[in-house]
Amino acid sequence: MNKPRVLFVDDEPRILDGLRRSLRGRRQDWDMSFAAGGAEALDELAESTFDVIVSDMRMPGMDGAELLTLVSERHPEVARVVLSGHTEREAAIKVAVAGHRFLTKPSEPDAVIAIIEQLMVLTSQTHPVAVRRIAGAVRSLPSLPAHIDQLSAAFRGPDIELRTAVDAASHDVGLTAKLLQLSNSAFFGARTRIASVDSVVNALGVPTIQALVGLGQVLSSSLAWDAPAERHLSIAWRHAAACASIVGSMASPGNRPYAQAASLLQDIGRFVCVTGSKSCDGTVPEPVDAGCAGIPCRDVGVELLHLWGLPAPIISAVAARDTPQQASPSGLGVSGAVRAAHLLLQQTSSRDPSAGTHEDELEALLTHPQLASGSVDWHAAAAAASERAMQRAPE
Amino acid sequence: MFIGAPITDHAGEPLGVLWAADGQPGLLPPANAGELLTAMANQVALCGEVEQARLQYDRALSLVGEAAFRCDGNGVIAWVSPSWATLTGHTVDTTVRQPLSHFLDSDLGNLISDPLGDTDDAPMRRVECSLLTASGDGIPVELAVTRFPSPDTGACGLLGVVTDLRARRQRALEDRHDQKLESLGRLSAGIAHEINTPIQFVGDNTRFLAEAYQEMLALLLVYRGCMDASSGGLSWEERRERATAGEQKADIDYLTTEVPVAVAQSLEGIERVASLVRAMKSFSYKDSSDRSYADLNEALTTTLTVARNEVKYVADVVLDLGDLPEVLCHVGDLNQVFLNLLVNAADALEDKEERGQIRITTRAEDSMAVISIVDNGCGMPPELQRVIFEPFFTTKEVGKGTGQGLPLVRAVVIDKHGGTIEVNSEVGLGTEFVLRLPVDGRRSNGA
Repeated sequence: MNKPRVLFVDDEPRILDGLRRSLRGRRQDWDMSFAAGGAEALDELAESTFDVIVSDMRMPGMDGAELLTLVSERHPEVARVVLSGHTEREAAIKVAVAGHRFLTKPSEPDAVIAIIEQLMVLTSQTHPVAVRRIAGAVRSLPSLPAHIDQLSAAFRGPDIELRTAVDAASHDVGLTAKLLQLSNSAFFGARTRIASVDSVVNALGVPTIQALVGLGQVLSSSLAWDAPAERHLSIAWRHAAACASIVGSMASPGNRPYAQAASLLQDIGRFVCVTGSKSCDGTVPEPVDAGCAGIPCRDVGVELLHLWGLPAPIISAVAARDTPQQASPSGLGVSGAVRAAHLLLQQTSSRDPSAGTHEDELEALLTHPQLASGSVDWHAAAAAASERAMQRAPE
Repeated sequence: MFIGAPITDHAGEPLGVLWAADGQPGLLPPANAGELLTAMANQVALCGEVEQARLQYDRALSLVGEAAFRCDGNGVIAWVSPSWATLTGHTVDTTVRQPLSHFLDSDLGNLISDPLGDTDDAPMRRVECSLLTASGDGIPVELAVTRFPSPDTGACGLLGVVTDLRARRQRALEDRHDQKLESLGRLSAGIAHEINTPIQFVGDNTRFLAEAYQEMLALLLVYRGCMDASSGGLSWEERRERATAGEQKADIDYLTTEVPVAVAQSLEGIERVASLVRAMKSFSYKDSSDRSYADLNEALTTTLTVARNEVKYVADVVLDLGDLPEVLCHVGDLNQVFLNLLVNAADALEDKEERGQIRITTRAEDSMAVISIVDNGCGMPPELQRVIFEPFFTTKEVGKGTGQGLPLVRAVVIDKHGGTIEVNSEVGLGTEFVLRLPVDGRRSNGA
């Protein structure tokens, strides 16, 4: 088997020399190439295949954001890492859209190695490379037309109400995923892993998010969608949003933010398959679950979350949404809670038509001490959540 | 014998009588003695009125500025307003009949006792100078002086109004401070990058060196094993094989070439950070209110080091630094001037397709130090060139410029150092700023 290949790009030759030396220990495991600029890097990429590119941000001629954007278009299978010594928010946000992972200079070799090795892992068992290509091409996800106005109102005004901002952001799949991607990087000042949009907004600060939204690339218009695609995604969103609103009280306090994020992002793969990737023709896959050219949407979604470096419990729960769960006595876990919320919503008008109802499994899950101990009527809670979601994105 | 003539004011009111008596009896008064006496009486009356007017005039003057004074044709103070005492601490008695130059820093004192030049064109001149107080301190003041015609002597007296500049200076200082903070904010991100980059590769190299040391040490132990007397049974062949295997394991050839380079590059990285820190220290050197002699070539180099990150992505900087005498100046302020011009040059090159060039030239020209900063950027149309020095005028986007950079350049170069600024710019070709600073810190005549 060929060794995985990594390409490092920096306009400062000393940085490349330093990386070459400090990563020498990996020379048995990786092939490493070094390019002194964007143009040179593109030449290298055109000549041979790479798995990961690690690029500086500010370079004369073609800068990192430009390079990584081109890479996302021409070589979507290459995972994109930013290694930058720049600290300005403005530049950071530009690159936030183009990159998958973000490292700051100075970074320890161990941190660089850890990220590169994570990105060498392809999550899909069945179509690893094809899934990587579809997910890798994604830079940001469009919002539902129904949400664009809400987000604009929440983020573009002169006086931003923190509460409104958090509420709007936490109901949008693309923005939530993007915020979690950024917030889990030291680049944007995060010290601990963050799983809730609430704390992301606090950690990044409203102006950063405003700039992100204002950049337009995150909040891209979805005018290009055809009506069936929009209807399909509205249904997926309602289900996800309703799940997210009840799963918080189902998961243990420690798991709550993960469960909420995983619920909202459970069908992120569909957003990618329907809208995002060039590899797909933009029509609604038939059957809806089939994804692009026989590649399951769920695989694409999981690969995207993996590339974007979201916390592992979120990725696992998204991956396992359609896997039957048992009420493990040790605890429901994030996956269990998300699955339980999903099955509860399957009995409401916000159901996911592509998934089954699995009533026996649901009954078993509801007997779990974590869910049975309180006096909550989960079915009623799910119906109410469904009702709220229907109001937010009417049919 | 006596003759007399009445003295009346202009309204005809009698003020008194002017009498004349013959001092030498028997000598007949001249025939026109009466006429002469009347003329003299009129003159006396006029003098009285002039004196009245002068009193009123002085009183009016007292109301203007912080203090006012009047000098005779020799530069000797004839009158000061009462507030002079409040401002300077000198009493009116100790001031009047003293030369004005006693109270001013010397060179400006001369300037004032000089004729004011072509006073028809410039009936008034404003001079900034230092006014010495009774306690020996200097107060920064502006003197507005005008020629005071004194027909009796033919020489020109001076009328002057003194304005205390301390409050204005304070405001200007605060404005300058604001501008400094603005450019500091912009610089700090670039400086962080200039530090982060060497720290990254010095860290990487040091880790490599630590590993290399371990590998070398392991090899050393192999050698030691080969040399050990207790392994005397080993054949020479076997020892050599072991040593060769050890060398291969350590990749000794690679280490031999790479370790010295890693050390050299690390030292270079450390020097980069150190020189940046030195430049920052020297750049932000807090000017005392006194000027001192400084090497402007060095100041330019320092500024360039601090602003390297602002420039290096858009332009190559060509330094053509000639022999310059040390210049009496406020070097901290001049650093700020150089920085502002450099940042502007870089900004003018930002949208250029290919990499731009900024050329910095210095040379001595008579008693002036000439500094030219040229870029081959977008240039400015004439209508823009006319307004660039106006406060708060900016073409930069919000958050990038506040329109205080060039006004500061003007304030420092022209107002503070008596220098000149020349702007040559053509759209599409670039812009040149030429600063001329008097080496001795004095404004040349006619400047």
